[in-house]
Amino acid sequence: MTAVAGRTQPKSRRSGIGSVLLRLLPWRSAVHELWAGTKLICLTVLILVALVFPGWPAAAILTCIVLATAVAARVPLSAVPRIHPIVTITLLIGAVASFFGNGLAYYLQSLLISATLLALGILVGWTTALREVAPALVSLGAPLRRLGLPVNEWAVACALCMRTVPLLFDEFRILMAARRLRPPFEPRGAGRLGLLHDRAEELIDLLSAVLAVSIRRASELGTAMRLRGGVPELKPGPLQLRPGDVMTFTVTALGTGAIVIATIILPAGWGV
Amino acid sequence: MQRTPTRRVLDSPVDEISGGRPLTSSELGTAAVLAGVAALLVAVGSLVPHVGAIGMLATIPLAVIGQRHRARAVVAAAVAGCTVAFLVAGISSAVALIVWAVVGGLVGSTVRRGRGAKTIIGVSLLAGPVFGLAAVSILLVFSAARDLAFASVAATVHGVTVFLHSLGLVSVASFIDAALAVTLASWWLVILVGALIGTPLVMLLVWRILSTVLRRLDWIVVDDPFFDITPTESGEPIADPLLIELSGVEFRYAGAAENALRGLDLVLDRPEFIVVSGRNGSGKSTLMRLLAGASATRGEIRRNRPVALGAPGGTAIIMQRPESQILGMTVAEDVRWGVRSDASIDIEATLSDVGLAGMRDRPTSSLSGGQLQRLALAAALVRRPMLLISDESTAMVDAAGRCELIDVLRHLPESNITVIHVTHSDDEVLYADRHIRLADGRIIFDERQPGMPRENTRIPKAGWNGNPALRDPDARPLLALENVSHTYDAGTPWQQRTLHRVSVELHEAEGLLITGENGGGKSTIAWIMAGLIIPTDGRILLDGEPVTAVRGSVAMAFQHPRLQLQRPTVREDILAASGRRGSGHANDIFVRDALSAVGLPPELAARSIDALSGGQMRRVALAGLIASRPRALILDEPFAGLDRESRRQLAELLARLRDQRRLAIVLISHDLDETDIVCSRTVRLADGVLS
Repeated sequence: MTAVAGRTQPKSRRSGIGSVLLRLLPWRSAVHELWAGTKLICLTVLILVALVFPGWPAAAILTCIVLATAVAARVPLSAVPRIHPIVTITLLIGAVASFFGNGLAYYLQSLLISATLLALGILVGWTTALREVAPALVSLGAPLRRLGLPVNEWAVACALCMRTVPLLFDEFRILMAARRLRPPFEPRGAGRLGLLHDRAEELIDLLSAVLAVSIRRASELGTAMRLRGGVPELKPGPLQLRPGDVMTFTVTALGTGAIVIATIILPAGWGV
Repeated sequence: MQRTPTRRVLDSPVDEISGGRPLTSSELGTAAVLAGVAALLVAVGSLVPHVGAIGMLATIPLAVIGQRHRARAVVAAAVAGCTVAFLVAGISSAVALIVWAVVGGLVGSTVRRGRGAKTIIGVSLLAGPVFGLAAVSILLVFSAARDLAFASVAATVHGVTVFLHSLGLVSVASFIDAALAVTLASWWLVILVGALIGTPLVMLLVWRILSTVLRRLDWIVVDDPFFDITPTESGEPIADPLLIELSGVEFRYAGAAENALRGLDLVLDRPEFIVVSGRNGSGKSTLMRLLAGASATRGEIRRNRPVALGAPGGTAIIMQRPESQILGMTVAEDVRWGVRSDASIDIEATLSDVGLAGMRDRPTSSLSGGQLQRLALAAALVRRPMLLISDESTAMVDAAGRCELIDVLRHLPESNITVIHVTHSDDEVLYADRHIRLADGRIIFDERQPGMPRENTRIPKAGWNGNPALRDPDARPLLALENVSHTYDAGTPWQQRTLHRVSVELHEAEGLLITGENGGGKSTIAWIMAGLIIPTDGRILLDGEPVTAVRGSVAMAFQHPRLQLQRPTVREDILAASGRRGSGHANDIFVRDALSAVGLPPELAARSIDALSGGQMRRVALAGLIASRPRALILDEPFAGLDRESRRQLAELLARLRDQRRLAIVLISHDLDETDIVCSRTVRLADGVLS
């Protein structure tokens, strides 16, 4: 690096967890090819199973599924986000404390299960284009339609919401940058209460700016939709499950079965 | 200045939730956008634990939906936000979003009914037990996960007490142990009591914040010119040309003292390129509203086909602001938006008709203003309209973009489409088959003209050459970029080389234009010059010092001024931009001087930020920046969203600032009109390389 970087280098957020979320890995893979609905269903099933049968079997099998998915999606190590030092330190302190509290096993179990579920979610985000999600929701929500629920407007809301999120990301970035360029206020009130007051005011400033921009954008979206004939009717397309989807469902079913059976069969200490 | 009250519709509580009417376009738009804000806040809160409290702010956007629309819109927002939060940050964020949607929805809907703190407390006393019971039942269902979490927490806390024991703090340790044991044993009671007490506190806090935020947002006047037009079916397509006859039509806006249109007679009987011109307030927009389906106050409008706004074979409209008409994330998706999935459409052919051939998979965010307008046109054409209304669609596009747009528009009548193009610009009139001029709500001129040869459209470029400021050629440059390269996300799969060995120098009182395609690195170079991004390689020196060490000396005006104006009023914002605040005579003078430097009257100081027009916002943002006495000023797309007159005024203002304050000015723009007044030099960025 050069002299410029040496002086007042701000925190590099380049590989922080915030910057790797919902970013499609820029290549095709078996996991990319799956129907978005398949990935959402399997993810939900695995989350539910892990919550009902949390234990070493779940932790082990989920870890295997995460690794297998990562290999199938050709995820390189360089994609793995850097974990914030505060998080790492907190987790380490927790581990040490639970060790002395005679419960390191419980601690590790719950940590491993939460981490694998988070990782699975991130993997789905990395391999699913946002625009594929809304059509999948239309198909998945088709049964709810019979109950009279307004599935169509939910799906349209999802589609519009996902179109907006990348723009919002940019806006948050600009907002913070504009803030950084401004000189800081001299603190108003004395002591902690004054500081708290300043912070609250600052937050409300930022939130108002975001909301003001969003409300204008919302009204433009509304007009744009009206000009194209109003809220569109999204129809579920024909469901075409490819071999990859069938295999994913099979693996999920086998994994689920294995977790359930192992948790029931294994002696109590191994389950929970 | 007066406040415009927001239109609010109150429904019965049953209709609120179970629905009745489906959501309208504007309800759905609000729900979707604000759900996105909420989802991002929740995700940030859950992924960055030390700012976890930010997640709670997600209640505010959701409460704003509840304050503006029916509960049905809040439900749609909850579903959309929950899905996005789930994809971004997992199951816990999704659950949190639903909780915040209920809290925000209740508070917002209470505010909409004009009730205050008492009702909030009443509602929260009812909601508290419900929340508590819901949480307890979820933990009962997932008992194994609960046991595991409790065991893990117990072990961690016990570890801490063991440590306290060893320090000799026996009584503290045993108290903690006992408290934990009781808490875990009667967890359900703890949750219920917590919900009973916590819910009112949280809801009151949300209500306080919401009221503060709403006081600012109330100033926003959203302009939705077509809100009262009900959609109609298009009916059977017919081969006959469109026929519309207006006779003796008058129109008066609700609450207006005078008619906007006074006795208008007009016959549209053949597909042709009609250009409607006239000053602001001459009735052009009102005429377009009538053609788009609004009813006249008096007089008769006869048509041989229904209006069918946005429907196949009906009426299509393209409007002024390019980016606001786009609904899809990619070009093809946008063209297809809202077209029935069983309709056969040829996207590729439509795109090539408007000159966007081969761009179907481009993200819409990478298109320039002119390209976006042609995309909007493609989305209109794919509906095979009989009538196309272009409502000042060329006003915010640069000269090259204007040419291309007019060129497409004037050839559409050959495909049996009647085109009505509203414009301020006289040079566009030359290409009309028929020219209609309005003044004071009447047609003062209506003639068919031979038209220009069909071949090529040429619109003369406006602008004059300013005198480039004189400077000493040997002087040291004020701002120097030396071999700057930048790669985003270096070392990850998303790595993207944006700049490659770029060197630029800029002197005092000099203007530099950086131009190039969107996505070519223009914004990155601006952020680097302002010290906001540290490039992966190279140096940026301001007067010989690294720019990051003197951040703030290079001011930056972002494309969207509202994001830069963060205080409630003009006065407070201009002061904040220089780190000042408070009342006092010195500050009064400071604000007055800042406003006059950008040509704004001092009365504006008290104005709420959201009561400003787009052009005023840009100027106020500039006033704040200039008042902080920067050495250089960078403007990212300063002309976006301005019409030609405002553009020229802004350019002249910048040229004056450059000369009077010896400011170095960098314009980042893909729009070349008027820039020569400010900039004596132009560089072009393409694929991260300067030329």
